[in-house]
Amino acid sequence: MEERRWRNLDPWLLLLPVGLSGLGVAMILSATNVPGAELAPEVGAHAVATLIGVVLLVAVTLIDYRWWRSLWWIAYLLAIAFLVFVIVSGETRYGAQRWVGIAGIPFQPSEFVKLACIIALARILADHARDGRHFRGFALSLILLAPLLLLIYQQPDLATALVLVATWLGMTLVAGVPLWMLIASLLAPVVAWPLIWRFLRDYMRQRIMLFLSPDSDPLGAGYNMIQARISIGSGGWWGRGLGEGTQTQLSFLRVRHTDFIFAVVGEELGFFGAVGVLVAYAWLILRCLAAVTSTTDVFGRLLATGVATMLLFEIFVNVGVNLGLVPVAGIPLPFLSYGRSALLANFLALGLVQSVRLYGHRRRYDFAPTAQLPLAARLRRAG
Amino acid sequence: MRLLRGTESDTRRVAMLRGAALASFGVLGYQLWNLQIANGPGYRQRAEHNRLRQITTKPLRGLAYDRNGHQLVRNVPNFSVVIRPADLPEGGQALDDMLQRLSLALELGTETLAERIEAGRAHPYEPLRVQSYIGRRAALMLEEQRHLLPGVTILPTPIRHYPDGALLGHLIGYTSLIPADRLESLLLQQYERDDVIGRSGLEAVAEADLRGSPGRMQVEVDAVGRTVNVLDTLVEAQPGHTVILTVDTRLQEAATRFLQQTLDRTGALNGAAIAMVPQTGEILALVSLPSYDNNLFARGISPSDYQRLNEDPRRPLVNTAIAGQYPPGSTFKIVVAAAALEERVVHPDQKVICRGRIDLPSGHVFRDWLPSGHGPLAMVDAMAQSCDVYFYSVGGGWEPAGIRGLSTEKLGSYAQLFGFGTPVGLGLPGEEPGLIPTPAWKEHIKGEPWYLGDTYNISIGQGDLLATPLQVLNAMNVIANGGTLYRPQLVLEVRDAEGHPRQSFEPDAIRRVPVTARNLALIQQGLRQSITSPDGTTYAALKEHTLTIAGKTGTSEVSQTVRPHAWFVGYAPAHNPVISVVVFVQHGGEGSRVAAPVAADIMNVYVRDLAT
Repeated sequence: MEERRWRNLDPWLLLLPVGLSGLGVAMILSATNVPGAELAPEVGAHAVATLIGVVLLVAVTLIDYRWWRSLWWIAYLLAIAFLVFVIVSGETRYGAQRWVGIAGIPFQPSEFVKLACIIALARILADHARDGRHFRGFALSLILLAPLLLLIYQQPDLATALVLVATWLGMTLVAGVPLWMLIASLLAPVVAWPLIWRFLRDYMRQRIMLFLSPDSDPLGAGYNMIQARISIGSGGWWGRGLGEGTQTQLSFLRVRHTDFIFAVVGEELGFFGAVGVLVAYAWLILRCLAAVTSTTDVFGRLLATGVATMLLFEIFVNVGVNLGLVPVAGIPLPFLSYGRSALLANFLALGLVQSVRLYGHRRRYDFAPTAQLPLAARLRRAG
Repeated sequence: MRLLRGTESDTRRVAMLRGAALASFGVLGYQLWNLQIANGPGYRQRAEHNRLRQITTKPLRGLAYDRNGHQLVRNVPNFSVVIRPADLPEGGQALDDMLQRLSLALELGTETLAERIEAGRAHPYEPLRVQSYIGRRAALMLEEQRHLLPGVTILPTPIRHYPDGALLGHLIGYTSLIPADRLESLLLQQYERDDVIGRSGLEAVAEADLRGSPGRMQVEVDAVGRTVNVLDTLVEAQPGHTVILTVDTRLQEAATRFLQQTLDRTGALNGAAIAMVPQTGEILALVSLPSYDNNLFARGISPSDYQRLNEDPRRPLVNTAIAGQYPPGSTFKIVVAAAALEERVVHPDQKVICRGRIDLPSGHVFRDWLPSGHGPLAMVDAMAQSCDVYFYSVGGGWEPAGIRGLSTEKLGSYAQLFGFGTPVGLGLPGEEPGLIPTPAWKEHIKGEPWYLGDTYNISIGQGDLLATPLQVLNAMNVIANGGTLYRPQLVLEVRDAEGHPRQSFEPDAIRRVPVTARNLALIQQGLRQSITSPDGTTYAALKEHTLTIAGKTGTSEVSQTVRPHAWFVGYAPAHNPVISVVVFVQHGGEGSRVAAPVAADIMNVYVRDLAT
C-alpha cells in the first residue's frame, strides 16, 4: 500500500515549476544585467525563493490535503485579517497598498489570500455538490468571495480580484453548478457594465482605454505595451540570444524582470523559446487537471481545479499583456516573474495539487473495497 | 449509479476546462506567431530604430598664433551639460528628481534649470546646452549618475583660453553659444543648437577656418539616450585650422604700455594705437584701451560682469581703433594736399600768406591754430607746420590768395579714394565707416544748406568729417608706400591641423590712388619736415628721436569746453618705411604732445628691436 501510494505522485508537478523557476532566474539575470555592475540582488533572491519553494512544495505534499478541509475557516479568517491589515498599515508601492512587512520581510498577502480562498471555496462547493444543492453552494461561495473581493478592490488591486473571480468560476464549473447559473453570473457584469465603469478607479479606466489604443500615448503609459510588443516581435524564430536582446539590455523594455519577463523570453529566446515556455505552462495546467480526474474526492478535485484555474488565468493574462491581447494588469507570470511572495504561493499551490495526487487515491480504496472491483475499474477508466 | 453519472458530468466539466486551457494557449501561440514571425521584421526594425542613432561629433576648434609663433589661444579640457529633450522624462516625479540631481551638481537653481529645459522642448530632437563649462568635478559627479539622468549627456567641450587676456582682447575676441537671431540661418550650415560660434575679434573673422567640420557617428543608445557603443564613424570630425596672425604680440604689448602710460598721464578716457606694414596692409599691433579680458566671455560672462563692462564710461567693449569715429583733424590734410596737387589747385611752390585767420564776407572768421599766423608758406612747409589757412585756401578757395580751391565734390572723392567713408574691410565685427559729409547729406540729415565754412572745416579734418583710427592709418599708408590703398589684414597664414598650409598672406590692394610720385614725394617731404624743421609741428616732441620718422599730427576740436582729440599718424624710417603707426587719444589734448611720442616709441621699439 505505502509503496504504491508514492507511485501516484506526479513528477511533472515538481519538474515543471522547478524548470520554469530556473529559467526565471536566467531571464531575471538577463533583465537586470547592467554591464560592469554587480549581480542584481533579484537573481539570488529568486533562486533562493525557488529552493524554499521546493521545500514548501514537498512539505505541503506530505500533509494530507484533507487537513485543510477542516481548517478552511481558519485560512479564510486569516485571509480577511491579512487584507484588513494591509489596508490599515500596508505599504504603498506603485500606487497600491499590497505590501506588508512581517519580520522585516515585505510580502504581498494577496498572493496567499488566493490559496486561502481556493481552500474555502473548495470546502463550501464540495459540501453542497455531494448532495446536489448546487444553488445553495453557488450562493454561499459567492457570499464567501464577496468580502475578499471588496477588500482587495480597496487596495486597489483589480488584477488579483479578477484572478479570484476566474478561480471561483473554474471551481464552480467543475463543482457541477448548473451552467445557466455560471452563464448568468458571467452576463451580469456585461449587463451592468455602464454601472461598473462608473465605479472603476481612474487608473483602471486608463488601462482599459490604453489597451484599446496604446499608440495614442507612445511615451506615456502606452510605452510599456508598445516596447513589449517590439521586444517580442524583434525576437524572430530563434531570438537574439540570452543577454543579447537590445530592447532588454538597453532598457527600452521597462518592468522587464517582473510584469514583462515574457517579453524578455520572446526577445532573447525567440519564437521557439517562447513557444517552449507556453508548452511547459500548458503541460503544467494539464497535469493539474489530471490531478482533478485522479480522485473522486470532490474537495480534492476542487482544490486542484482552483489551482489550475488560478495558474491558467494568471498565465493567460500576463502573457496576453505582453503580447498586447489584454489590458495592462499587474499580474506576474507564475514562476518566471520576479516576486517572492507569488513564487512561494505558487509552489505551495502545486504542493496542494501534489497532495491531492498522493492522498486522493487512498480515498478510492477507502470507499471502493476490492469486492466492488467493477465499479473501481469503471472509475479508473473515467479518470 | 448516481455517483457514476455525477462523475461523468464532472469529467465533462473538467474536459471543458481543459479545452478552455488549450484554447487559451492556442490564442497566445497564434499571437506569438503573429508578432514574431508574421510581423517579426517590422518589429525588428522598430527595435533597431530604438537603439541606433546618428550623433554629431564636435570638431576641435582651431588654434591661433602670432607672427612669431607665440600661442594666442588654447583649448582647455572642460565639459558641458547637453540634453536631448525627447529623452527627458515628461514631467512629474522623474523630472523633479532629475532637476534635483542636476541642480546639486551644477549649483544652479532648479527653476533656472527647468526654464532652460522647457525652452528646449520646442525642438525635442535637437541638442540643448543647459550649462557650459561645468568643470571636472561636476562632470564626474554627473557621469556617475548617468543612469539616473535620462536624456542628459556630459559633452567634452574645451573652453577657449586666451593666455594674453586683455592685451589682445579686442583682437582675438571670444566665442559664445549661437545667439538666437542668427540661429535659423546657421542651422542650415551644419551648426547645431548647442554649438559655439566666434562672436568678436579673430574668433569671428576666422570662424570658417577655426570651426573645423563636424563628424557623424552611428551609435547605440539605451532607453535614456546614453551612448552605449560607437558602432561606426560615418564622417570623421575635422579639427579647425590653425590661424597665424600678422600681429606681433611684443609690439602689441609695447604699444599697449606706451598708450596706457599716456592715458594715465593725461587722464584721457580711452585711446587707440595701430601699427601696420605700410607696403602690405599687415596689422602688427592693434590696441584699443581700455580693453577687456576675453576669458570672461569664454567662460560665459556673468550678467554682473557684463553690466559692469557695458556701463563703463570708458567703453572697454568698443574697439576704438576700428569702431571709434572722430574728426581726423589735421591728419586729413594729407588727403587735401594730394587732391590739391593732383587737381592743380595750387602750384607746389605757390605761397599763401597766413596771418592766422580768414575773414569771410559773411562775417564768419576761420582761425589758424597759430593765432599769430605762419606767414607765407608753400605746400611742404604748410604740411610741416600744419597751416590751417593754407588748407582752408586750397580746400575751399580764398580769393586774396588767388586760389579757387577744390570743390566739395573733389574733396569727397579724394577722401573716398584714400579709404574714408567706408569700412576698410579688416573684417572685425563693429568696424565703422566714418563719414564724408556732402551737401546732400547735410540737407538730408541736418536740414541746412551747405556753406563755404563746411568745406573749410573738411579741409582741416574738422566739422562733420568722421574717421576711425584705422582709416587714418590706412590713408597714411598710401603716402608711405607710394600710392596704393591696401586692405588691412590680420591673418598671415592658415594651416590645417596637420600643419599643411591652406592659405598664405597676399597683400590685397584695394586700388591705386591717382597721385603722382612727384606729388607724393612733396607730401612725404612735408611729413618729414614736420619733425626735422624747427617750425614743424612735431619738432619739439620728437627731435630727440634718432629714428627718421615722418608723420602728421592732428588736434581735432570737438567743442570749446573739452580737450581736443590727440592724433598722430606716421611711418618710419622716412625713406624706406617698415612700419606705420596711428595713435589716437580721445580728449587727450594736442596731437604733437600727447599722441606723437607714443607713436614714436612704438616705431622705435619695432625698428630697433623687433623688425627682422
